[in-house]
Order: sequence, then C-alpha cells, then structure tokens
Amino acid sequence: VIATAQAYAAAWGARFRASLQYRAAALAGMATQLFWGLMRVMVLAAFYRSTTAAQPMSVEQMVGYVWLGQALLMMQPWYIDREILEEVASGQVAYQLLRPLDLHVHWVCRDMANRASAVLLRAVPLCIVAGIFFGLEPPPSVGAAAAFLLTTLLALIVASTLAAVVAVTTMWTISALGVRQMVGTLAMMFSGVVVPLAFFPAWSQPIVANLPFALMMDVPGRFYTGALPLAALPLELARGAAWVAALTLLGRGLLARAQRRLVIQGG
Amino acid sequence: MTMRDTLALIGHYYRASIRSQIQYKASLLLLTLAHLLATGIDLLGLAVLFAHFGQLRGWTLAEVAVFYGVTNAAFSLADAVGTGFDRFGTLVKSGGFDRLLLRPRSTALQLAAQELTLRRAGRHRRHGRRLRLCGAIDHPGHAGLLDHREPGGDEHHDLWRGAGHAIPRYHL
Repeated sequence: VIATAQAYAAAWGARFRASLQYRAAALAGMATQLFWGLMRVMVLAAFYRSTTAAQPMSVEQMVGYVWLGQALLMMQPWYIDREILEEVASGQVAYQLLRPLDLHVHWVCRDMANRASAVLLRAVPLCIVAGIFFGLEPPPSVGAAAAFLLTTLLALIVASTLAAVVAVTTMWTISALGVRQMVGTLAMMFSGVVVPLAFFPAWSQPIVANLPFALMMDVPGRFYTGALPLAALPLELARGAAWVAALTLLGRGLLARAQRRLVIQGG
Repeated sequence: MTMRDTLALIGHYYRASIRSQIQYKASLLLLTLAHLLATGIDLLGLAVLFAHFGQLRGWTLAEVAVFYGVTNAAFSLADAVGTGFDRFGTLVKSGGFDRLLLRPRSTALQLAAQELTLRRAGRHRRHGRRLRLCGAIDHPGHAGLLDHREPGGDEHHDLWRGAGHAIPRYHL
C-alpha cells in the first residue's frame, strides 16, 4: 500500500513541478484575469449604486468574492489536462493501463497536481496586486481564513474528480470537446464566477447550492469574505464529501465500462 | 491582380474551408451548440443581475441585451473571418507559413482566407433571435423609455434607437 501511495505521490510531484515551469503563461493569464476581475467589479458596483435595498453581501464582500473568483479560475473544470485527453485519442493510454496503478486514481492525481499549480501560480500574484490596488481585503477572522483554505482544498478534489469523469467520456467521443465545453459552461455559471450565486433568484438557491459547481468557487469565496458563517462549515464539508464520493463512483464505473470494450489499435 | 480575381480566390478558399468543416456534422453541431451556450452564459448572468436589482440606472435588461447582441454579433463576424490570423503563431512554428510565402499572393490575404469558422454561426443566429425579441418587447414602449433615461444619455439613446429599430427589422 505504501509503495502504491508513493507512486501516486511521485506522479503528483512530477506534474506539479512540470507545470510550475510555465511562469510566463501564468503571468499572461494573470493580466487577463485582472482585466476581467476589474470589469466584473465595475459592473456589480454599478448595480449596487443603482439601488438602496439591502444586498445579500456588502460591497466589500462582493469585491473580495469577485477577486477570489478570478484567483480560483483555474480550479474550474473547463480546464482539463490536455495530455490525458490526447493520450486517449492517440491510444497512448495503453501504456498507462499497463502500469501497476489504478488509472482513475492516477488521472485524478495528475489533474489535481496540474490544477493546484495552475491556481497557485495565478492566485498568489493576483491576490497581491488586487490586495494592494483593487480592494481585496484579508479574511475577517482566522476561522474564516481556515474555512477558506479547507474548502479550497475540497474544491480541488471535487474539480479533479469531475474532470476525471469528463476525461473518461473521451473513450467514447475521442475529442470530448462538446462535453468539455458543456461542463465548462455550466461550471462558469453555477460556480459564481459570472455572477455571485447569492444574487440568483430565491427559488433557484436550493438547486444551485447543491450542485458540485458551488463548491468550486462560491463556498470558498463566501467563507473568505465572511458572507457565510463558520457554523455552515460542517454542512459544506458534508456536501463536498458526498459529491466526491458520487463523482468518484461515476468516474470509476464509466471507466470500467469503457475498459471492457476498449480496443487498442495497432500494437 | 485585380480585385475580382482576389475575391474569387477568397471565395475558393472559403468554399474549401466550409466543405472541410461540414464533413464532421455531429462535431460541427455540437461545437455550434456549445458556442451558443458559452455566449448565452453572459446574457444569463445579466438576466440574473437584472432579476435581482430590477434595473441599472433606468436601463432595462432588454435594452442592455440589444447592446450586448450588437457588440457580440460584430465581434463574432470579425472572429469568423479572422481565425486565420489567430493561427499565425502555430503556422510560423510548424513551418506552414513558409508555404504561404512561396505563393504569388499577399500573405495577409492567404491568412485571412485560411478559414471561415462555421461554428460562430451559433453566435449570429442567437443574436438574430435576441434582437428580434428585444425589438418586439420594446417597440410599443419606445416613447416611454425616453422618460426615465438620464439626462446626457442622448448619445446612448440614438444608438439604442438605431439598434432597436433597424436591426430587428433587418433580421425579421
């Protein structure tokens, strides 16, 4: 068991170090995200100015939420490890299947490493710039900061298990571009990146809150800004754990089915 | 090279590009659909905000949607025609640009004619529908809209009138 865990950890580390190399790409990405973040803050601020009614989050909380949305943008599952997809399309996945590792766990590990490094590379400089110039404030309490870190970690696991499900669908469709775009679009809308989920109509709140996408940005963002009290932490963790379990089962089930009828051509 | 000759050449290129894209019908359909969804998301976001806040300093969702539609339609048209330039980097890296240099025509023309992206049709189509919708909603209440427009917003208003009247008619 220890040797297997070490193998997964090694795969994780290798991925993480490899993607940390693309610093210029991360910097360019950060510049784009600064622009988008500013635009979203300005649009929302204009709406705030046009009303006197009480809002579900204060202006300061909204600003913090929008910046966190930009910082955690690479967490969203519209970004999926291209290598995994290409491996399936090119048939290289046969080599992965030969390894004494579980393909699903291996994929999730690789995806998590990619996602974590991509988020870190962008989030750290973005938060510094947004903190100095654009009104991003530190969390109101140590508890809020801890809840934010914990739920961000959970977001990483949920996003990676979901990405693995999407990756498995390439076994049927080769390009999976359609599935990827659909999942990506849903994720953008229902994670709170486009519009904070708090502004969604009241009737849709129970639905939106229970989708896995809310866990990927909305929940960490609300804990960070203090819009969600610490008492809500156990519920969110339970929701996250349930989604991880469900997505893992789905991914493994689909992969098992795909492997039963898998033919590697030319070998 | 006469103008006519150039246009005929671009026509040839585009025909080839379109023929190659419609070879994969399911893929094209899915991509167009995904594209439609992806651009629709922003509008859905706007709709959510307007549902929550009611209005934005006297502007309603329908009015803002017209602006969004006009800008987006213009962008997608430019994007559909300009995809070739998007690929310039890849072309240079792969050495494909050398082939373009060898041909006795301008490289800009050849780049522009590389592809006429069909999946962008998802965008055009949606804007058509949206503009029609907005036109229908706003035609009767047009005079009323003038009243609650902020002073100094004349320029916007003219633009809006242009968009609200001319374009929906065109699409109808």
